[in-house]
Formats: sequence, structure tokens, C-alpha cells
Amino acid sequence: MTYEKIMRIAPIRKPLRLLSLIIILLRTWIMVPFRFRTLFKGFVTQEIQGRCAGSMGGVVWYVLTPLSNLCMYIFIFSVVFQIRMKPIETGTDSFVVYLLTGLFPWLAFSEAALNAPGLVVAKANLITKVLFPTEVLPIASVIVTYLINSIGFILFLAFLLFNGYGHLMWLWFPVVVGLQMVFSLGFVIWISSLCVFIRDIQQFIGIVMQIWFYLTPILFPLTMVPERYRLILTINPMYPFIELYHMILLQHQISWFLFGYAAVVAIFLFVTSIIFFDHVKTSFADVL
Amino acid sequence: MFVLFAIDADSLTKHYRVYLQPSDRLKEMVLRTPCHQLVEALKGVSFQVPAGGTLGVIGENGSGKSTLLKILAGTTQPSGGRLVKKGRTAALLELGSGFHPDFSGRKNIHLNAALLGLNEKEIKEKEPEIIAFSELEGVIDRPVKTYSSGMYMRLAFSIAISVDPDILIIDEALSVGDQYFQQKCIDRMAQIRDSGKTFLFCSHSMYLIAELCQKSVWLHQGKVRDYGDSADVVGTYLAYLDEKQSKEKETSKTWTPSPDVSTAPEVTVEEVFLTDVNGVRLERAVQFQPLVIKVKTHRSGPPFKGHVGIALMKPDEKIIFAAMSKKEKSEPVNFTGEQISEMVLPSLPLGSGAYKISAVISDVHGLAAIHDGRSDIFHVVSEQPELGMCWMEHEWRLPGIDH
Repeated sequence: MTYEKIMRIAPIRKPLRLLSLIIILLRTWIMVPFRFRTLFKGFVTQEIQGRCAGSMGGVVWYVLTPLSNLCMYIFIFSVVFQIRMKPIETGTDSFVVYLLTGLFPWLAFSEAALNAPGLVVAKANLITKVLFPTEVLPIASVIVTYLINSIGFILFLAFLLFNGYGHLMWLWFPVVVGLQMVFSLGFVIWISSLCVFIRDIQQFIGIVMQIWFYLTPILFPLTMVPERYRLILTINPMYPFIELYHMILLQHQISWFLFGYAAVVAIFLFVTSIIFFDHVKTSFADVL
Repeated sequence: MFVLFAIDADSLTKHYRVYLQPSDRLKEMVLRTPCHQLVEALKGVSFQVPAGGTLGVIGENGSGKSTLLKILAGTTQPSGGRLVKKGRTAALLELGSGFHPDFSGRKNIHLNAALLGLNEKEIKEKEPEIIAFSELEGVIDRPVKTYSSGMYMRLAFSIAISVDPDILIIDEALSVGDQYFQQKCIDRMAQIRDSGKTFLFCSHSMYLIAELCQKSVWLHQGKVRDYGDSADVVGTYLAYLDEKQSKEKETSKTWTPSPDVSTAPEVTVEEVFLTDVNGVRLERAVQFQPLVIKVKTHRSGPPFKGHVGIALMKPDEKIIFAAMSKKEKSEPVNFTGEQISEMVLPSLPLGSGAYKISAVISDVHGLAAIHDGRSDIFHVVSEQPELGMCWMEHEWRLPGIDH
């Protein structure tokens, strides 16, 4: 079986140099979805259909939940607080446009993160009984989450384009999304493999994601935050991503500092996560 | 390097760390002090299976069978030792693991076959074959949660054997399903075996093990207790089980009546034992070899007239054969002092397993038992493939075959 061949390369017995380990792991993670495309496709369709199987509403729930949240935010911030954006700072005077630009990417990340604890644990039965590349689990989950969330975002982009927000700078947008997916994947790999050993993460992650949401400038621009608290918000690793979306889509500019920040965060998290995953995956079957 | 064996296991060991609380694991990780209990599931298991060979794995619950199969299937790594496998492995450790209850049978075929390592083209090709073997044509598009457990198992088994592996590992998979489908599976497994595939089978059904596997390995408390031809291993294993059962029976007898001194027996059975024709003591007998059963008796006082009876029985005291020295017009035995009575069996017809012998002394009429004694449990070794307590002369008359 081809998987066993890869496995033979992957577990490093002798302490190889860290760099070659990382290269081998990167190659494994990039190859897995292609080499096991049948299995990968199977997991992707299982994720998509499995999420709505059994419920009558199906995909409708995936639109309704964010939509209800959206209406609530608009009511509170636009109607009650009457927040107006300063076009010089944010590139738009509409709160809704500002909110949605950051909210859609956040939702994709947060949904992926909330699904992460169950990824490996829920497949306990499979992992202990069948030999297959566990790497496909986080990859499939992240890709499916981003696919589902892209529906709303594409509609929103069309709306922006129609209202004259379009610009050549938008070409940077898919690059940032790609980086954010790498970041999410790293995060999901960490959480899903840690959760095998520490089940409490499952309960913990909900609280973390909620606090994290309010610490990220999605509902408000960073300029509204008092000067002395701004540092806390900028340390937040999701901050560069959200801020980049605002800049690229609305202000049509890019900050190389933020881009570098995002890239370093994404790559660091991903690389550490695959090293950790490789280190613990052989004991999944023993612990589960 | 030329590998002769499909599976070459060399002193495989497996430890499990058992944590009393989940937080102990974290404590150990952080503090680097051991907070676990070590459970040794396998303690150095070695065996080889030649390519095209069949191996049965037997043993009691908790003997390490499942751990061994998991290691062979590759879902868990051995803690020590070396394992070399040659060829594509398909393992059926649990039927239907990986089925999605909400998906149709057809969809689950695709998912499960992909898990077992087939690519899309192969799955497409094999789909009709799988459905036909499972005999689920009518319900294949229904969600599998609506299936009965038998249907579930039929689908899972059909997928697993369709993989066409070089090495097939099956763990107690046939416990569900009706007689008809079980037979179909066994036929299919025999077919796989005959087509030169390596085949590993774990079951509590000794009949199936003896039927399907040339060699067997008996695991006992994580170690190989016996390894060899299936018939032999199954025989000694069954003997072990019998012995264990009878021991349990003995220890459960907590109350035994104390012997009545006033009616002390006139003749006592001192010992019952086995020898070969040359008088050498035996602890294990060989089928179809001559066997001498000896009963040592003691009479203190004047000679006593009586008879000897001998019964061959299983350790649970079920009698297989019993005979009495009293026959028509035969003279009674004159018991005096220490004596030995013998019963000679020119060709022992017992099948492999554990047995014991009971000897009894009766009065001259053969009516009242005066004293009895038991031999130790002994084993019979057989080279015949047939199973059971004794071997019977037989001849087959089968339809469609000329004799």
C-alpha cells in the first residue's frame, strides 16, 4: 500500500536535522490529498453531505446561522449605536460593508477551529481499526469549511464589485485567503491532535473563539480602540489577516508589514503543527 | 534482499500506558515523572508466515490476539521488535468501521473501499461484484442505518474481501450473519487461501481455525505458548481449556464428606497411571499407539475377591468408554497386598485433547463399588485432521463421485 511506503519515510527514528524533517513532512502533507485523492474526495463529500444529512433544512442552516448573527450586529451597531465609518480610515462609510469584509473570513476560521476538537476523536473507531493517512482529516475539514463559507463571501464580493469597490489590488485577496487557510490548517492540526490527549479542549475552544472574536477588529476599526489597549489587539494572530482584507478590498492598498506578519504567523503555526502531529499520530490508536 | 516470508514478526512487544485519570497524562508530559501503569499486551511474539501461508491465531480473552492483529494491520505500532510485511494488507478488525450511517450502501462502498486503499477506477470495477456478493441489490441505495446488523456485516465483509489483498487479516469477523452467509464467507476465505494469498485468521471457533489454517499460533498472556500445525495447536489449546475448566470445578467443590472410618474399604486404589508396552510411564499418549492403563491396589488382610472397572473420561468426568473385568464366567480377582491390574489398549482411538481415567474396585458380583481412584489428567496427541473425542473408522460415499 502506498501509504505504508510514505509512512516508512515519515517516522524519523534517528534524530535527523530539523530542516530535513520539515521538508519531508511538508512533502507528505502536500502529497497526501493527491496521492489519496479517492479517499480525500470521499472525506470531503462525507463532510459536506454528512453535515446536513438527516436534517431537513440541510445547507439552509449554514446560511441562516450567520445571517441571523449579521442582522443582530447590524441592528446593534448601525441602528442602536449608529456607528459611522470614516472613509479616510476604512475606505467605506458603510458599517455593514466594513463588518462583512472581516466577518466572512473570520467565520470560516472560527468554524474550522470549532470543528477541530472532534476531528480525530470522533474518528476513533476508524483510526484504531483501519490504516489510513490521518493527515486527510484536518485537510478535508479545513477545505470543506472554507468552501461552504466562500458561498456567502463570493456573493458579497459581487455586491462590492457592483458598487464600484473593484480594484486591481484585489488580486492580493486570494493570496491572503491562502495564507489564512494555511494558518487555519495549522491551528486545526494542533487542536485536533491535542484534543486526543486533553479532551477538555472541546469545551474550552468555544470560550476561546468567542473572546478571540471580540479581540479582533471585525465589529470596529482599530482606531476606535483606546491607544493603550491597541497593542493587545495587534498581538492577536488573526489581526493581520482581517486588517489585510479591509485594506485590500476597501482601501486598495497593502501593508507589507502586515503581510509579512500574517505569513510568518501562518507558516510558523503550520510547521510546528505538522511536527507535533507527526510526533503524536502513532499514539492516536493507543490513546483513543 | 529476498524475503521468503510474507509476514516476519520478530519478538514483537507492545506496552500500553494506562492512566488512571486523563490529567495524569498531562502531568507526566509536563513534570516528566511517570504517572502511569504499564500494561504489557505482548511480550516478545515471534513467528513467520510464508507467502501463501495461512495462520490461525488463538488464545483466551486478553491474551494479546487483538493487539497482535492491530500491529499486523498497522493501526498501531509495536513498542519493540521488528515486523516485516510484504504486500498489500487488508485487515478486517471490525466490520463496518468507517460506515457513515446516513449514507447509502453504495456510497459507503465507495468510502470504505477508498479507506482500504482502492482507487476510483478499481472501486467502479468492483462495485457490482461487491453488491452481488453481499446480496443487497434491493437495498443498496438505502441509508445503512436502516440495515440489520447482518446486512451491515455482509456489506462490510464483501467490501473487505474485494480489496484483493496479498495479506488478509480477519479478526473474529464471522460472529454475525446467518449460517448461509457464514458458509459463503468461509468458502470465499478458503478460495482466497487457495489462490495463494497470505491469510491470517483469529477466531474462537476451533473448527474454523483447523479448517482454514495450516499453522496456528497460540497466544497466552502475551507470549507464544504454542506454534505449529493447526491440528496440534488446537488440540493442546483445547486440552488446556478442558483442564482449566475441570480445575475450576475442583476448586469450587468446597465441601467434601469425610471418609467414614467404620466402613474403611476392603481394597484401596492407590494409583492409576499410564505406561507404554515396555512399562515406561507416560504423561502424554499418542493416538493409535498401544497404551497400558495400570491400577495399583492395596489389600491389608486376607485375600478379597472382587473386580476392577476402568473408565476413560474427559476431565469434566463425562465417560467415553468404561469396562469391567467381570464378564460371564470370568474368575474374580484375588486382591492381596500390593498388586497391579492392567488394561491394554492395542491402538488408542482417542482424539487429541485432555482425558483422565477412573478406576473402581467392586465386589465379586460387580454390584457394589468398594473404592475408586483417578489418574492425573493426560493428553492425547493426534496427527489426524478430524476433530472430536475419538477417531472412528469411516468411509465417504458422496453424490456425483464414483467409488
